[in-house]
Amino acid sequence: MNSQLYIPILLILPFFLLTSCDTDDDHIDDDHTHHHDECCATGSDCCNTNNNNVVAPETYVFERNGESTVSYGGQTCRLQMAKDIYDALNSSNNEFSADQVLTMFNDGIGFAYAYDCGKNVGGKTAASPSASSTVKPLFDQMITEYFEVVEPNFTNNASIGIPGQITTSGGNTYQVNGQGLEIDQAFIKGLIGAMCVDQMTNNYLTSTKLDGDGTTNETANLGTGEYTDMEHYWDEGYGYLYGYNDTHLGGSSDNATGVAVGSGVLLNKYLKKINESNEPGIADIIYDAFKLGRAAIVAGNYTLRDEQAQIITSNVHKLIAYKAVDYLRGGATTIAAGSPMEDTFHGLSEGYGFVLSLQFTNYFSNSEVNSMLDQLMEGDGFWDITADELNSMADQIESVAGL
Amino acid sequence: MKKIIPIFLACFLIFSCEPDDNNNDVINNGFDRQALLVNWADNIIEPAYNDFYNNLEILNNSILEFVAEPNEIQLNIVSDNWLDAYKKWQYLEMFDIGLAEAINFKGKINIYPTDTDVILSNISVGNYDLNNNNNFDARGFPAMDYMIHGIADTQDAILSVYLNDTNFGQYLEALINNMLYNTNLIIENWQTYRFEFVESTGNTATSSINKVINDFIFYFEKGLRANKIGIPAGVFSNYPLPQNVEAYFNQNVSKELTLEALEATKCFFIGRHYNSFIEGVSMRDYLNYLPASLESGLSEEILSQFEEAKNQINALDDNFVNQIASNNSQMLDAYDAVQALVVYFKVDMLQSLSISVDYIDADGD
Repeated sequence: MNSQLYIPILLILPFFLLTSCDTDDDHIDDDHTHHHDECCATGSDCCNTNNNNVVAPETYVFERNGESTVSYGGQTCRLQMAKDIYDALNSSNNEFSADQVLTMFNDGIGFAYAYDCGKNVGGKTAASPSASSTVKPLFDQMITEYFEVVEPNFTNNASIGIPGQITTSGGNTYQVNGQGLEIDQAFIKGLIGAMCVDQMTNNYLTSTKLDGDGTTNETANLGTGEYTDMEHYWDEGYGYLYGYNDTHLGGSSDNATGVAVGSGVLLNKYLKKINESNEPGIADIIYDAFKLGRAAIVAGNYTLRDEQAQIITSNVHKLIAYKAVDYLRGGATTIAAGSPMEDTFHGLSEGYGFVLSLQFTNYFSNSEVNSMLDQLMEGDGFWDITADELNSMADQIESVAGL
Repeated sequence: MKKIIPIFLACFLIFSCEPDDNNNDVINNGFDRQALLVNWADNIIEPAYNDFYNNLEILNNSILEFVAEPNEIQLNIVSDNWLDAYKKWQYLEMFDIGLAEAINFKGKINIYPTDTDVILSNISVGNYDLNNNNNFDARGFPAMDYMIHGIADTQDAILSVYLNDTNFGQYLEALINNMLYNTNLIIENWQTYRFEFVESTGNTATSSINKVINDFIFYFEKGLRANKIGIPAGVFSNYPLPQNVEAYFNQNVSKELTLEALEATKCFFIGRHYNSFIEGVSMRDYLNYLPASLESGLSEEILSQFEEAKNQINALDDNFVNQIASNNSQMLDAYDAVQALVVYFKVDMLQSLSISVDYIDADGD
């Protein structure tokens, strides 16, 4: 075991807690020192703030000797692959087979676009230390179910227990399984929790991951643009929220260009929605915490880092709860209005995925989520769900999440 | 729920074995770290090595008799002795320290799946050095498992193999000799290393407590959780890998070995003397000695999770290959229960004890 380079974190921390305004400059890039000067110039007693003089940059830009140290290409690649898999889960006419899509999901190959990142989505699905190992197979099963059960009946009319196509009052068509579940929605909304939230909040932003064996933030031998493991872990967490872009396909969407751009099909899309409805300002809170936490790593202030991780975690978890509640209540409202059950299926399928995602938040355990999912699917699934059931589940989520 | 540190107070009394010798080297919050090391060395590690060696000798004697005269009765005796020794091994694999670490002892005894092609090639070529790491997956218990349970389809056919070609018996003898040889090296070294071990009471990366606890957690995470359950159940691959269960060729003992390993780790956590019900100074005592972890009831949480893991494993088929085929989800439930212990150890316990983990999972990007 490689233990020679071990430095007890507890011995380091007091050093940084005691650092003064002056010495802190040594830890901050040139880019940031002018912020620091402003801070002192405005007369604020920056040495006594809990930030210990760590100042976040305007945007998520960090450099070493003038070159960026921010890297999350692996996350970008996975988010791009996830979008392709989502599209494949709405394909018809044998365009894809289950094996093909399982290969895309698990091996990261077989896409129309030739990804060369060497990453895959499946390996980071419910893969944090606290995720249940029973979850990943559910995603494999959803892929299989789509191609074995739903896709062959793409244009057949669905009914109770019969997979196929539904048409809503508004004229939209969706493909569902016998319980009325739209697989692509359950899959991609579930992946928001199982990959984005789980990897970010249960893996990369945990002190266990960031601190590793105590050598993860050594800067001694770093050259221009090189980063420490700890910096990189933090960036990887960042990447799961802001890493999506479609430039590989010639597009210009890039979630890293703003606090809530909303491109793609995963977490950032709902960050934008919630920032514009349920909780304006939440996007700034999360983005600021990512910036300040990253700056804290550069400054070696791990207390501040962990505080920002906590802010990110609690707010990102809220995003999941908001959307789960919204979709469940949406279904309940539609049912209460006397509309056809089919009108609820698309939204409830999204809700199903967000409920699945809840087990990766601090609010619910794997077994609690499983009983909620069972409740949604019991009997004839969405065909016989009631407004009361949906509202009471939404109430429970609101109450636990403190919304 | 992701919150690892229990937030409720234990509403029951927790017994704490106070260190009985206050004159020992006392540092780090006053806990008698040397008493902990002495208990580990004298009451757990050394007796376990000695018992293991005795079992290997019994296995060796039965192998010699079998090779001299291959027959069904003696083959069954070898198989029984193989299992007995294999179970004793579960009490040792976690101690990857001192000479055991230096000579890669666990790599000489229990690398699986075994490579049957290498074994057969060794036997046919006849010129092999089992101590050479080229043979890492052609030796130890897994290789012996193949030799006595899997080299042919039926017991009669297995006997024919040994009756027709004495090279197979020689390989079986070479396997047990290699295990005896390396075990003896460690036991002899331990006579002197023991003193160095118990004097190393500091809290540095190379001090005994830090190394043993790191080894314990590493073993729990890799040797127990991943090798015995997670890898066969497909947690680290796209599909289950039933051929990777421990004792694949016997198959019916994969649960028995896993339960033994879990029991061994629990015994070590509570400081139980080897093959005894006496409980000495332990990691549990250390956690209960520190106010924060005492208040959070961490050691009780760990013990109840040990029970949960045991129950989940107990619910599985004796034969993990069958279990994976019939209901792999249940294997994954057992994995989850064991994984919860990994989190307790690696996060909560190490934080409480102010010990840094000395290995990193290379799963970035």
